[in-house]
Amino acid sequence: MKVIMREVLLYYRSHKVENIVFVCQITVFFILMGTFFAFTGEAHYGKSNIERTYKDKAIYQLIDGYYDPDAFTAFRSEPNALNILKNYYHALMNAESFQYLAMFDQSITINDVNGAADSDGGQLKEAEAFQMNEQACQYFELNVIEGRAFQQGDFDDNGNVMPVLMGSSYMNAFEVGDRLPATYYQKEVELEIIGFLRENTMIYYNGNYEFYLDQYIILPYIHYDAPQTESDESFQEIVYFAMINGYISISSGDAHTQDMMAEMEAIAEKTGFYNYVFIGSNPNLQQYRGLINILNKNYDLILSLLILSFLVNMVTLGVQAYMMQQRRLRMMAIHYLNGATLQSLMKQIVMEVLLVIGLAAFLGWNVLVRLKISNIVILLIFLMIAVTFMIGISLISICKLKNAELMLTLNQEDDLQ
Amino acid sequence: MKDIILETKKLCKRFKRPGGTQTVLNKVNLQIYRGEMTAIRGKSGNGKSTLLNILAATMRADSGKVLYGDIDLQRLSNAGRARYRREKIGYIPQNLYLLDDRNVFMNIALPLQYAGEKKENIRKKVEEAAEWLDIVSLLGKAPQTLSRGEKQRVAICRSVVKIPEILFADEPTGSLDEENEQLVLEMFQSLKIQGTTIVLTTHDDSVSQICDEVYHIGSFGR
Repeated sequence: MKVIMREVLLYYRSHKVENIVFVCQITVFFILMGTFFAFTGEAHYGKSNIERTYKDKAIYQLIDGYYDPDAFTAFRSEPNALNILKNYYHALMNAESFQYLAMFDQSITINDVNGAADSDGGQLKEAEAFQMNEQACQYFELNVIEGRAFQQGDFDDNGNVMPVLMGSSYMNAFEVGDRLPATYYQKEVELEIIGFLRENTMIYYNGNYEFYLDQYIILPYIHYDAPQTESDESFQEIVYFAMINGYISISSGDAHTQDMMAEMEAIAEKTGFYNYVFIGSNPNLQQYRGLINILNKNYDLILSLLILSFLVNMVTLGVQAYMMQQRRLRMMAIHYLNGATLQSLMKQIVMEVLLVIGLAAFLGWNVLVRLKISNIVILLIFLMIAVTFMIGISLISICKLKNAELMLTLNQEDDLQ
Repeated sequence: MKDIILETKKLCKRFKRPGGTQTVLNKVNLQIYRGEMTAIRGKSGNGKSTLLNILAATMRADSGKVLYGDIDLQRLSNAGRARYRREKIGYIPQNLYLLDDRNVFMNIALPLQYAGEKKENIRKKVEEAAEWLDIVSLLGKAPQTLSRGEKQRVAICRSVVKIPEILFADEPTGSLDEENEQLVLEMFQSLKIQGTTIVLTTHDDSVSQICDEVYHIGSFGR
């Protein structure tokens, strides 16, 4: 083994440029493959996510009808206003013919950050926040890459501590378990980070199918207990007014729409909240189809490029490895006639291949990690390609060595004497 | 009574060529005697180098026997053949082929390293062999910087450093000027006096003349 290692090192030392170029080429190949797989994975994830969320679905926007500030103030001055709002919201949440998705984006003030940095490295003061109810979180299947997603208990009233999910851009600025003092609808709360969303997490919001949450702090819409003070009551009224503005998702079809309308009327009747408005009637279907078409085209294009690039690179690297091996055969013949066994020469080849591919894989993976496009699936694919490469190139070289009349390679210039 | 060190019996070797098979050796019988210098002559393409490679166990024949004492080299495993190359023979290839990834010292030391010699022994033996061939001044040089004659002496030094029983040389004077050719032949004769059996291929009459045995390949007889 000592002799083999020495020979490998001598070979690398004397063929520096050739080997550096080869390592660079394989590294670039690995980066390309990793990037392509990441893109393909993202495109597939995006496509299946959108299909799962919107296929055969219709989404309506529900808003309250209190546009007039005087009417709004008049409603809030009613002694039973908060109960009406709460009952109305809970009835929407428990509806049988539709899903109610309460969502709203509003910035939140982070107070006294004690040096905590935002994603740009600056002091965090105003941060974009996005509020969602439990059904909306489940509907869009928010996935975390660190920590945990929202659970049922996170939507209960836990005093001043509010669990939050952070968009992926906050990954390097905070850690799971960090607590941030904040002002939420003029109430002092403490935000406890429970997890970080997967990069490029997107939902439907405000007519946009690709509303990305990477820059947002995600707050749960809490089911508050009965208020103890007047200020608490005022706070809850504002929050519940926000909560009854959201989206209604039903299955496509007239029958489902009629069922939904009937249940909405029944809820209004039951809770005493009549002042609501629908925006759009099945407005999303056309956009959804267009979006899926674009995603399909992109996905096919990326997949075609991936396959093409893989084949071209495999052929190029294969030819290059073959030519390098051809030149090596003469040197190996010298070793052979001076006492090396075929087996030790094969070990030398395998060692050379392992080191070159291993180094290229290490460099390629580090680049992907720095580019933040690495994950466990990419790592597995990466390892699979690297191992396939190692085995493939080693086998080709070993077969070549075994089948070559080594000594003839020394006389190739002169033919047989 | 002369002692046979190597003997071939009905040795055959064919090579696949585009458009068919070429028979290079056909039932070749020859004897190499211990301590003698034997020349193998023949036209280009008649298989002189092939025969040398088969005798040196760097190539296998298609059929026939190559006897080293009682041992048939043809039937030896790859490891056994490697041991034979490592312990019994030295080989000077026609194109010399010094390894350009190491200096002259390391080139000469190569067979000793494969033989598992210790570092201090390697140094001692390389220096002794280099002194004998008058190439001590070349030991630290890169092979690419040497003249053809110097390369030839380094290749000879590499092949004799482990004091082989049999030395094979493929056209050892093929591309040398008269002075270097004379030097090489003197070295061979000196090796022969020390008891080394020498087998070489040649086109050169002056080389054949100093050999004890001359085989003409192609006519398959002495």
